[in-house]
Amino acid sequence: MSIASSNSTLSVVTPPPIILGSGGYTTSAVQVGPTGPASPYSFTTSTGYVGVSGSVSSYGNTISTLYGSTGLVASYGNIPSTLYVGSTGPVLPRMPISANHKAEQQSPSLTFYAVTTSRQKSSTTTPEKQFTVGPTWSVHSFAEEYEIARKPNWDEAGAEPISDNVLNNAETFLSQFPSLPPPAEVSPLSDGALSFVWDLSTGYLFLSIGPGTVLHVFYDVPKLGKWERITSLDNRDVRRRLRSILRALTGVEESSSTTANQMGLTFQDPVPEPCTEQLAA
Amino acid sequence: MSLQDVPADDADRWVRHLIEPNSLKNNRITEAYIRRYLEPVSNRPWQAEISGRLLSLAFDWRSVAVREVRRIGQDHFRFRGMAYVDVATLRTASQNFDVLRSGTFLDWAHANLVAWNAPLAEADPGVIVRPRVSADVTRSLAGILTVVILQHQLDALEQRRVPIDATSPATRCIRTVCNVAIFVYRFSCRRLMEQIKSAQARFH
Repeated sequence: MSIASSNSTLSVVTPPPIILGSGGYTTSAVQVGPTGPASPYSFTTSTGYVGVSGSVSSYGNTISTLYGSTGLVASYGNIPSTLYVGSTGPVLPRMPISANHKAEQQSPSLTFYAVTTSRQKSSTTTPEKQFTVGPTWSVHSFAEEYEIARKPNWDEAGAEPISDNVLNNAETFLSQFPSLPPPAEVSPLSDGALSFVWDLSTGYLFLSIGPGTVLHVFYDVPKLGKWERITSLDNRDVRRRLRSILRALTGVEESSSTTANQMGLTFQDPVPEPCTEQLAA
Repeated sequence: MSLQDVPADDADRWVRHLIEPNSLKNNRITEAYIRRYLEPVSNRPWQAEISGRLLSLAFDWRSVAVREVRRIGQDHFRFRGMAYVDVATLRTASQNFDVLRSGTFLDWAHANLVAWNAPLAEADPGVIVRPRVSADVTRSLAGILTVVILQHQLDALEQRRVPIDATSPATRCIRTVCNVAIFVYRFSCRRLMEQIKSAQARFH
């Protein structure tokens, strides 16, 4: 799958497949690197005639709405703060939608709304279920931040290395929370742990994973206060607590960011042609 | 050997050179950097400290950083910039932090940025991990420190050096101790030389 982008060399980092609908209409979401403050986040629906509209939200604030049809391609980059939406096919020209969005240090999450469209109702598009395409990042996409710490004594002060075990644990653990935006900071600690920091307008979250299965959690969320604990990755109470924290931080229910099938999305009668009325609207 | 732990002058600046990997992110000091170097201490009035220097006395901070990089000799260690904070600003921003002058014979400009209250993060029973200062403390300290990385910023930092206030009790104390140390050192040297000379005379 290729994604056109004018401002960077793109490489597919993780292609988590997302199944839309039960009618054989499949869409997949890919995160396109490089990650970082100025990186574009692009998603594409690979098969045609899946009526999809969406909105781009930055930590809960919708900043722009986009519509797409035959192969939606949306890419976002902080520099310039412009959202592009267009089509991989010849029907929709690549068109810019100005995003009233102040450049932030992190890329916003893209939230799409799956819609039901039909030939009979071609002029109306009703958002039905919301789901988040994501996660838009993975631990391995921050490899350059911790690669230096993969060997012993990497800080010349006796630091422990970041082990494969820690990386795998981090990947597995964080994949349970796909609504987490890319962290502002990923750094190794001297005891072999890997730390993650989210400093959002809605609150602050610090996670440190390792050594072994150690999990260090600290959050400071205005609605919920401060809390800190060093525990184990398999602590269910802490996972539950994290879910509620993420709801407060991102406004997204974790369970909603899975596959569309799990949400009961169906595309029974997709439109064969893109709805130009929608675009005009 | 530490000579004293005297509060630094309000007009002074605490500085620390940044040469380590992962010390900077988006022109800010990383919280992980603070986590790595803010060490818990015991038997002190304060609970954690991070080493640094006082700008008023650190005339050689560039060469010290370069020497440190050379000593380590690893590619990923290089001079990245300076973290600093005005002592007065630090005291205003948070009563939990202070800068204490703790000059040594090896580094007369040495000063610790201390956290009076830096509790360790609570760990579940059975979870074995090195003591970690609470993330709340490291986070707030990382938010207070400023970083300069560009040459003209470093030059500006250099020019902001203030002369030591001669009337400051802290300064007077430091100078007195320094003078005593120098006197003792010279006296010892003189005695040693005399002994050597007398030994040589006896030998001949």
